[in-house]
Amino acid sequence: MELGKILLSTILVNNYIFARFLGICPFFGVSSKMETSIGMGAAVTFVVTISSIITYFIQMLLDKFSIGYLQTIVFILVIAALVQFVEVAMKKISPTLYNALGVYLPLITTNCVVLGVAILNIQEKYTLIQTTVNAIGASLGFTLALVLMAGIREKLVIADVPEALEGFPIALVSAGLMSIAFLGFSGLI
Amino acid sequence: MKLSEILKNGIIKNNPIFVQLIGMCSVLAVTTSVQNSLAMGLAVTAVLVGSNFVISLLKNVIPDDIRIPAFVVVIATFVTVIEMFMKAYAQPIYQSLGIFLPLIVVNCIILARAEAFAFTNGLVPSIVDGIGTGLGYTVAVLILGTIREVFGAGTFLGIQVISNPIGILVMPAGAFIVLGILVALFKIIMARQEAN
Amino acid sequence: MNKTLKLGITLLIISSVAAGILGFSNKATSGKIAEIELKNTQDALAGIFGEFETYEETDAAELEKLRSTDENLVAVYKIIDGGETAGYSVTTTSNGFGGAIEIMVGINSDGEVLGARVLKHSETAGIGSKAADPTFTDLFTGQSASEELQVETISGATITSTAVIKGVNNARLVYQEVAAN
Repeated sequence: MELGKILLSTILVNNYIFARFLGICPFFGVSSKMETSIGMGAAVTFVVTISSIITYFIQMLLDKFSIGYLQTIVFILVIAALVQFVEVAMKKISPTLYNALGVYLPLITTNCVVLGVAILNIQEKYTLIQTTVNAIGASLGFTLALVLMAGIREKLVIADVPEALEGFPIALVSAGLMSIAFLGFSGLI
Repeated sequence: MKLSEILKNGIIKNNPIFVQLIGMCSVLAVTTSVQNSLAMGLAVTAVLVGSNFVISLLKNVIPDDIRIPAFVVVIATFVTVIEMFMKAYAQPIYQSLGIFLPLIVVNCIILARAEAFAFTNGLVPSIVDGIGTGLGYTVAVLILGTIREVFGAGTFLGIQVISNPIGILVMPAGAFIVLGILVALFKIIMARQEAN
Repeated sequence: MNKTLKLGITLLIISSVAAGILGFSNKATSGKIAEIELKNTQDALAGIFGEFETYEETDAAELEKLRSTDENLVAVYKIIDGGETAGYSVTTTSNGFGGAIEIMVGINSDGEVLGARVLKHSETAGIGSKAADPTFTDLFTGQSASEELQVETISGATITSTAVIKGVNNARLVYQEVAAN
């Protein structure tokens, strides 16, 4: 598949939130404010891209020793270690960036987008370049969903919503409506 | 705390899906059919019971500083073992759960129970907590799965029951909307019960 | 430093035990998994070609060459009956709405499509999955593999049916290549 198509597909058509249901927890967790969603989006983009590239090489090693069954356990440990490392490195290199993104980093280990993208890259047999493009597309799609949702939720706070639907339920229903809107992109590829 | 209370807490009062709202990814993704929901529910329950058991057993051995990576290793081991056995003995279900089977590793429910319960409690209560939380998850996905399959695809366990289903319910959008309404309903029921 | 070392060693021990358990269960299940995958392939081939003597799987080096025709190619089987090549079965994937759709296409040595089957898919149940049904894929049966195979897409399942049609046609191109050799 051409790179542009992968990018378009992961951002709009097969959006990781609205079509693949990966990364739902942070999606609802931090999408109540615009500022935090941009921060989370940036942190996820950073980690997903790096971890996809690293896991690509790790998979080569696993295949070489034919221990593919260790994939899940090795990937999650690598991601956890990577997140820790990024946190420490960011603190030293760019304290400003750390102050902006630092709080989101620990949350990323259990964000299924990271492990999900890593495993899907392998399943789809992507090359290194396709892997990178897919990772960037996935996280941009995640960020887009997060930011759009934050825009809606900031308005929802002042809306007159039935008591039982307040908070999480109405956010879910809104996400459902957005998912229908994203269906419109499916003709693109 | 009595064991029956731990069990009840997991299923109703602290239901991971309807009350705590964690571990949503798999819930939304696999509930397109009753069969998938049941399989996912059982897989999650098995991992929960297993990881709670092992973590409670090792709670004096695992140092506090590295407890999270240690939990992750234990959970990932159980997930992979279950994945292998499903692949060998229940291939069609393994295929339809797809990537969400390995993703049980990052399901916040399991890590949350390990951290909040198993690491500080005894063996038997931890196992019961695993069963309770697992059942709570299973009941929730089964309700969602039944509604989506019956009204969305018009079938129940693959058998035709409705002739003109509402297709949108089995699509991703339907998952969000049905779950949203269910959470709201659960909130109303719980509030009523408390008032009584 | 001493403490870090101790923590590292503890984690290492836990991980090694975990790896050991995984290695053990891999050993316990890998035979069964291989057996099931073999049976799935045989059943799929029998579903298309009916009864036949035996089949040969095209080796990895040859597949790699054929991937210049179809980059998603998964496997090619040569069907042998009565000591002669009865046809070829080509397995490939095509991207649908929910990810890759795996399709097996059987074409006999006269270039007639004997059948197409969707082996694996994750399309939306009740909607896209209609295009994975034999009622749809049977429409390819009987067509000639020497020209583009044409089938009407299913309305409401356009993406999936388009993907299936594309996959079947890619398989056809691979067939032309292997049959020419």
